[in-house]
This record gives sequence, structure tokens and C-alpha cells, in this order.
Amino acid sequence: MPYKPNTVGERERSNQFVVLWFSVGGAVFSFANLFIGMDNMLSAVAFGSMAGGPLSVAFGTHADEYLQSLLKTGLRWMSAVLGVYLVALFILASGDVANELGYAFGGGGAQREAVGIEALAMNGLTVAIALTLAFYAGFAFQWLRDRWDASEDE
Amino acid sequence: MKNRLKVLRAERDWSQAELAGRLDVSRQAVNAIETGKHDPSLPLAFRIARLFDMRIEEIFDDEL
Repeated sequence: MPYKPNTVGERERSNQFVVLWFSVGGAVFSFANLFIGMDNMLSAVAFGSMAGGPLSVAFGTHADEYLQSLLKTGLRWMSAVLGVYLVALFILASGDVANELGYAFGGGGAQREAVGIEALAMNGLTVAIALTLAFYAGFAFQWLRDRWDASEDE
Repeated sequence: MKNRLKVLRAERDWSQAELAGRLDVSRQAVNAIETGKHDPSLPLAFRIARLFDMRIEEIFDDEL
């Protein structure tokens, strides 16, 4: 048998699933970290592990077609969250017009509240983590649903 | 889509990992195809058919 360097075998392809589950953990940890604030070293590891999924979609060569179908589900979930986020931005931006009018007539409470919500929505880290979490949630949901349906069939 | 992959694999006494290695996919992919949770692409369906020396429609049935 001729020597083929960098050949991707079954083990390497299966390991991709393990890597992605590690990434799911990283995404969950990073999301939790938004609220509880843990050690910087752990945050760095979590960010690094989160990168696995999106990079697999963009540059991965070890993913077989089943893994790609799971990643595609993740992308759909991420796309859904991005769509909702953009609609929310639209509403907030539209609300600004109304707020400015209201601010002219009333007190500053509503204005401050709107600015607070917008600041959260405009936070790049929050948005990145939310989108990544949606991606991994879709991946995990599809994987678990396949396992669940398969066990019911047997 | 229903298929006979599990039966054909069992007849040859292959594990899912062994079949996956022959098809150049992951063990998880073989499992998903066997349980009907993933329909293989046309190239993979041809690889499966060639491996078992059968026609695709002898392995996969979309009417079951």
C-alpha cells in the first residue's frame, strides 16, 4: 500500500465530533461567564475552544457529510438568532426616533433605559457569544435528536 | 430513508468503525445512515453500493 501522508482516517473524522463537543462546553462556559465572571485563564480557554466550530465550517477538511449536516443546522440556528438580533436593532433604532420625541415632552427615564438596552445589544462580545452559543445549540440539538430518534426506532 | 446497511454490515461481521473506515466517513455517520437519520449524498451512496457490490436501490429504499 503506498504511503499517503496526511491521510484522514475514520479516527480523525470521529475525533472531530469530540472537538466540537469540547467547543459546545466552551460556548456554554463563556455564556455563563458573562453573568458570573470567572478567571481570565479559564475564559481564554473557553474562547479558544469556541473557535473550533466556526473554523471547522470555514476551513475544516476532516468533517464528513454527516458532521457537515450537523454544522449546517448550527448555522441555521445562528442565522435565526442573527435575524432576531437585527430585527431588534431595527426596532431599537426606530424607537430612538420615538424616544427623542418623547424625551422632548417627558422626563429622561425612558431615554436612559433605551440607552441601557442598546448598550447591551451593541456589545460585541455579548453578540459574538450569543451567536456562537446558538450555533452550538443547533449542532447539539440535532445530534441529540438523531440519537433520541434512533434509540426509539430500535 | 430506510436501508439495509446494518444487515449488510452484520453479514460481513464488520463494526461500524470498520465500515466507516472503508467508506471514508466517521463512525457517527455510519450510525446515522443505518438508523435513517441521515441520507447519504449520491457519491457516498455509490461508494456504499460499490463496497457491497450491489445497486443503490438494492440497499436504499425511499418507499419503505
